Amino acid sequence: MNIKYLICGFVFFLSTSTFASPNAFTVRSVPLLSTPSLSGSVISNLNKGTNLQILQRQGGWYQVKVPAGTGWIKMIAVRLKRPAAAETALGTIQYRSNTTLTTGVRGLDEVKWVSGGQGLSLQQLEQYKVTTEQAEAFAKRGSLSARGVDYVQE
Amino acid sequence: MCKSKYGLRKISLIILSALFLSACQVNNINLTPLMSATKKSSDLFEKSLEEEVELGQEVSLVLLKNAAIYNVSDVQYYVGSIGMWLAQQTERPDIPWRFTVIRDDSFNAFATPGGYIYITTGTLKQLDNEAELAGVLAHEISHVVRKHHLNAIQKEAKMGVAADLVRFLKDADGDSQNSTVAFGDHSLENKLLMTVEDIYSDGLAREDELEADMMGMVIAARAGYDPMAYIRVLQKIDAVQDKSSFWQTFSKRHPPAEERLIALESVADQLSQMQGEELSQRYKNMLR
Repeated sequence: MNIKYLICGFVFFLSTSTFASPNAFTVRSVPLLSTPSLSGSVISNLNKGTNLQILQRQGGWYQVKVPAGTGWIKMIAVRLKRPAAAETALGTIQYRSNTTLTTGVRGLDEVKWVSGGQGLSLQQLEQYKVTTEQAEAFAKRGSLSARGVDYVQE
Repeated sequence: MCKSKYGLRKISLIILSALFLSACQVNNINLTPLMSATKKSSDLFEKSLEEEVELGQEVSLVLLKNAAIYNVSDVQYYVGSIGMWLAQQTERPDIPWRFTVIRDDSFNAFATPGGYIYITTGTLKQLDNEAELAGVLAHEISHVVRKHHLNAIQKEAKMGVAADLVRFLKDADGDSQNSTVAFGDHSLENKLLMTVEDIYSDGLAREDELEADMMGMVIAARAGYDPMAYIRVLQKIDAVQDKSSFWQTFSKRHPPAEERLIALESVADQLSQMQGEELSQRYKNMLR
């Protein structure tokens, strides 16, 4: 047998086994529903502390996989597990910049918010001013339209 | 730091005006020059926004005294456009909103009075789409809309400075010459400077943070974004937040993410069926 296939198979096994491991858990008992809506039929009731795999999010709902099946639960009832060490690195997005991101040298003074620079001037704060018209055009390009939503009273 | 003196002095005068008004009844000191100066600066309602903006600028310069701006104009305009669009959905659309990305790899975003919002490159790296960024910016915008920092600074300054003022008036003991010492003596401004730094270092009151969470989600929804993306941000913070320097400042200033998620349950329930844009691709294209 070709060694390449063996390696490929092993890598595939590793990736699928990682994917299948639970990455979240419930913080209270919550029904697992057939659709992302309260009108969905109940597949089962998940106890507090149930491990699950999040498949996707739709609005305030997570589609999750648990041993009892796949269904939807309210995302607010879920907490994420701490990712494995390798994944906690600072994201995968690389910045377009000719400068290197540096860790600021923090002194004993806790008020040192951000460092590594010489401070900002008022001119710099004005430098990237965006007008209302520019913001509206930007929103339009992203298919964002304003809608009326009242503040929520607790 | 020197730049901040003038603005802080002006603000100190505004704050002190009320205190002096009552103090004058008790002590027989000629404070006419100080009184007229303070009256002038707090007379008109229109001026109060100007004063708020000026304070915001001064606070910004103090907090960012060791910072560096992120010199990628596309990203600056991108963040500024999202911020400005969100701000248009609030009760204060017309104040001079300014959004600035700071080159720093820790997780941090903050606001100063008058509409100055800052977010670090470290925060942008942790977010996955535009709706999440909108949620974070809307939280900071809410602090400005509700004047959380402005009120906190005024409240703390009144308490801290009042004690000094009483001492000062006693020391002056009727000598009108000495009453002008308040202008020349920088200790009042230094007190205010310390107050500002304390507020930004320790964070706002818990209820202010929770209010900004709730308001921010609604503002993001008004702007057409998926408001629940913000819950996802808090869940990610909850999962990875630790004692590392990456989180140090953020953790000191905010209630634990778990507590914030519990406080947001009713808001999440009411907004959970709302659809909205996530704009992952636009975010990734911009920050790749």
